[in-house]
Amino acid sequence: MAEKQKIYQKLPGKTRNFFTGFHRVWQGRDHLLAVDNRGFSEDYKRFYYKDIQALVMRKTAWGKIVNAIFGLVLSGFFFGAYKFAESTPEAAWVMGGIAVLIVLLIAYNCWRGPTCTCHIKTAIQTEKLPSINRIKVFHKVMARVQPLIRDAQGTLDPQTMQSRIAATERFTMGRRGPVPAASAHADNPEDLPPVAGWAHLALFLTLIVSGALVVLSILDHRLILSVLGSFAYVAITFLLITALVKQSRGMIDKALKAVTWSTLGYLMVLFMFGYVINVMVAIKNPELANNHMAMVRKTLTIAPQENKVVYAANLFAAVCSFGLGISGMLLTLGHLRTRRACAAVTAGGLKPDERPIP
Amino acid sequence: MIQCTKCQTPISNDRLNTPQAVACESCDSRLEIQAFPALFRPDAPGRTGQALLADSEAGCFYHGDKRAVRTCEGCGRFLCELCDVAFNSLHLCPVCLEAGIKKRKIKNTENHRTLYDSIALGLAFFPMVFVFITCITAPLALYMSIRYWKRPTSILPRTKIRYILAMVFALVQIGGWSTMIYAWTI
Repeated sequence: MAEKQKIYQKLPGKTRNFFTGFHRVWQGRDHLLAVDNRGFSEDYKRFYYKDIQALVMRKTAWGKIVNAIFGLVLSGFFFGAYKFAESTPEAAWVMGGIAVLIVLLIAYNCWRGPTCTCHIKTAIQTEKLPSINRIKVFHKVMARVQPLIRDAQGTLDPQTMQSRIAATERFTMGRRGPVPAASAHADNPEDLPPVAGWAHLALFLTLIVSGALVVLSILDHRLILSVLGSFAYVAITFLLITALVKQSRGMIDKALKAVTWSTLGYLMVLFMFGYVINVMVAIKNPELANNHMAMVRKTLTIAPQENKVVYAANLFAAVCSFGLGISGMLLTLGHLRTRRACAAVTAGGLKPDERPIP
Repeated sequence: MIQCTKCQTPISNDRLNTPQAVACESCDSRLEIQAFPALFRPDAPGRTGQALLADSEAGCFYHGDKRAVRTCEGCGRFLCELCDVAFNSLHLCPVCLEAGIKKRKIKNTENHRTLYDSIALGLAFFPMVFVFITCITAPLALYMSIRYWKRPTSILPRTKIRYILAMVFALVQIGGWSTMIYAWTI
């Protein structure tokens, strides 16, 4: 065991993901070891110091998005605590407690600093290191790994570096656009053509509209608002299916992908709420159980103020619709901007004298 | 050539090893790139293997018309330049390399391990939620702990605590079931 402990040392940074498991990078004598722990098994990838060509860190907005979502949820709980303060103080205390917990989570997220993604490049692969997801962590890892890589590879004096850069520039000059889809490898999602993004835009717009309808319904309940909300729910379902299909066939930002999948989770929870409310209505009005239209009408006419479950469902729908809608909309607009910029660069094309030398 | 990890646009070399993050020309992502000399190392030329020139020369075991340049450190067969695989300061033939990986005899080639200690602990701990299935899972957890006690677990530093906890949980559950059955029979 003592021998084992000498072989690998922990590097800063770890990520726990429900679907992909626990990720961490370890420092070995002559290589870095990326470990993906899936609970009952581990997968290893080794990157030898002599082969590492570069470490690429890209700043992401994921931390800010998480804070924005937490902020929206927090406002929902504060609003709920305020509403329940007089009628049921116990519920208000519980909501207040959850709100304090969310404030602590936001503070913790801010303390960890800006988020990033880190990729390690060797001659034959570019691999993502999921455990290095904060800029602070990246710099700590670099401080430990850089001397080891330099020891293994040596250092190049500026003159040699310049001459080698010039030599590699001959092959890369002129290629300032994205890698053409024709040369892409279909197995790697990053090599697929970018998703247009219009289905996502429509989805998140509809989500925001649906959130507005729910808020109006909470403030002043009317049947027409409930009916429009139901239509919005159906539209969101169809748009979500389209967006999921589109994103499975093309390249899209991971944060945007995550928000789209989260929308599916939100719809499922909302469906569960609807089911519970339907059961409640059926129990309270057994005579309507065999008349579907009457049941739907009765369900739609329940005002949020009349029933706590309906109120909770509406509050949840409002917070999630705005949270997911606004974050998704911002990410989609970012994606569209990126796509447009890439298209503009690609449309510029390569001049004949700039084509790579075979 | 380094590409932006978001839009795959090639990054010009003057943007490498800068003290501050730089923006991608295409998607405006903020990138910090630490490049190392290996990036500028020219690719090693491909090896073809020299043809036999005289009958007195030794030929490769796998390619009879190629000149042998080395012997395999695993099986001792003559190898040409094509068949010589240098790995972990060893020179092996492809067959020995494959066999070594399969039998875990070559260091640093494993890319997957099953964590039997975690399985045993999971088997002893999680079924406690459902109570009744523990009559099956507890003996299984105990069996796994004993059966795989000496099997290597993770290649990272790890103690036997999971096996010990699994055995303790399993024994407690088995003890509980035994007491219940004894009480029923009396």
